[in-house]
Amino acid sequence: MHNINEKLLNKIITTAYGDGSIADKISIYAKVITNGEIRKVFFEYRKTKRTIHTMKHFEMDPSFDLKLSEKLTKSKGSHIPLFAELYLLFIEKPYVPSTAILLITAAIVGNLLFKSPVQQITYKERFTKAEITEANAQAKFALALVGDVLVQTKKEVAAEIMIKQVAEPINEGLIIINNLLN
Amino acid sequence: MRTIKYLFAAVFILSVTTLLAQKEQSGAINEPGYYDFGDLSYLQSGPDETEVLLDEPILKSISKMSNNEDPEFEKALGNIKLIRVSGYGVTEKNMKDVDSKIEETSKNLLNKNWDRIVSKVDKKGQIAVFLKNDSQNEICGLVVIVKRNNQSVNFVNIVGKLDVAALGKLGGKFNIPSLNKFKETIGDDKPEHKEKKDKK
Amino acid sequence: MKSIKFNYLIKNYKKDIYNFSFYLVKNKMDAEDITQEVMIKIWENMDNFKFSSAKVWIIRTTRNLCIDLLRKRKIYTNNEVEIDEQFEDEFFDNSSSNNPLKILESQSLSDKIKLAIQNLPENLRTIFVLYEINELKYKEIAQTLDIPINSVKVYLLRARRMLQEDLKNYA
Repeated sequence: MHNINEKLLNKIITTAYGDGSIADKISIYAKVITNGEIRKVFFEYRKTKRTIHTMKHFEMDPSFDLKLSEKLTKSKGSHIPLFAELYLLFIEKPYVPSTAILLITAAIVGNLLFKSPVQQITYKERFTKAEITEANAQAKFALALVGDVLVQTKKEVAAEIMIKQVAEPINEGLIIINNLLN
Repeated sequence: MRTIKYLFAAVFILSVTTLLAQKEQSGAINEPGYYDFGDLSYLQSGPDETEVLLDEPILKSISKMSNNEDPEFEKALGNIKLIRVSGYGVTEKNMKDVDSKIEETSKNLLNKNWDRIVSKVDKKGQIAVFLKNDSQNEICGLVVIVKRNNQSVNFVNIVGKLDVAALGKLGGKFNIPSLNKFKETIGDDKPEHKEKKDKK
Repeated sequence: MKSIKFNYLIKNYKKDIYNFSFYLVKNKMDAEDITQEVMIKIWENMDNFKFSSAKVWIIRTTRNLCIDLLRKRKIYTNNEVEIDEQFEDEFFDNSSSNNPLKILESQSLSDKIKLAIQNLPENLRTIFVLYEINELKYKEIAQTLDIPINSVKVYLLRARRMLQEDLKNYA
């Protein structure tokens, strides 16, 4: 570490983490190539950074969503979400601890049969007429806003879409044919 | 007997809800066409603010409700999974922040392999349009940034398979107040304005 | 509209809140409680909620709740070492089990990094996790913690150095 002063070390770290300025990057990469000590430090930090960005972090308990639904229901003044409504409707009836077990089993079986990679919950799939009307107006506004922009810039858009949707696949096709012929 | 009926109904409803919930899991935020604009709140300089956030379940409800009354709108809605709009008033106070946010967003989008298909800057403002294509080379995301100096800026992200032609047909179609307000800000753009086009 | 917004926010931020609070409070149950509490606060404030400032609001609320909890813990236990050991136990229980092969596997670099992160002082840990794991930008961190951007950069650099030094102890 004798050749590496504070300032240089800071630059090595920021460059290894991908945050350095272009000038810093160029000067550090040049030093990494020529200086073994700097190379070693640089790759230590780079390895840590890469691991941090690819590692799995902490997973939540699968029952988290259910617990959240319960808490939301109990939380004062909150509107009860559909999931919690259903939960309450059956679970909080006096005659049904066994119902609770059945429901949870059904949910677990359902989850296992149609397993999807991430565990999340939809709190509401049903909307009021007022909500849909408001959403309808918002959707129209948003799509018309985009539509206006596309109309204003239609020449560029049309040309680019043509390139993307037509020319690129044709080019790819030509490349494949060339490769086959060579 | 009644209890058993209730039980079956409960199991059925819960299973359906769970399945719907599961289906939602792969929702718009995991789609390649989704873009997170990050924190935009610092751009707010006055009361003018637009926030639109519509995800797949509500968009489907809109489609169902419209009942073929407006086929063009329905066609444009098509397979859209998310619509998000964040709009703010632009004043001298926040102009610099708005400009740097637009620049930062454009850089990020290009870094994430979005294609910039339009970049138009003139004295009155700025328009940028970005597209994201999926592995089948179909459009799966759209980002539109529209700034009108001293008036407004809108950041729009639409996620899902898009019918660009149908979207274009909607331009200027709906007569709703917020849209009119928007059109006042960009509607007077004429083709003679100096255009600058950036291709990636 | 309330439920649409809520759905969106939960989908977007649930894991971020949980991971951030886990790194701060170093305890699975507390992290879950805090995540729930933040969600409830979001739900209660939904009518006045703005998406554009959601991230900063959510992270700030999460941090405040974590700090409250850490303060309470200090009053009641005043024993940091005990808490860290608890974290280590839970962490390894979480990722391995009693299978010796799995325990060996769990000694990978990522496990060491997780432990090294939790060894960072609270202020550095917060900034490091927010930047490297929650992927907030300098500006967003500065807004969340109400400190200048330059301080964020300085703390982040310090955290990276300290983390690297600490990793040598696990080698």
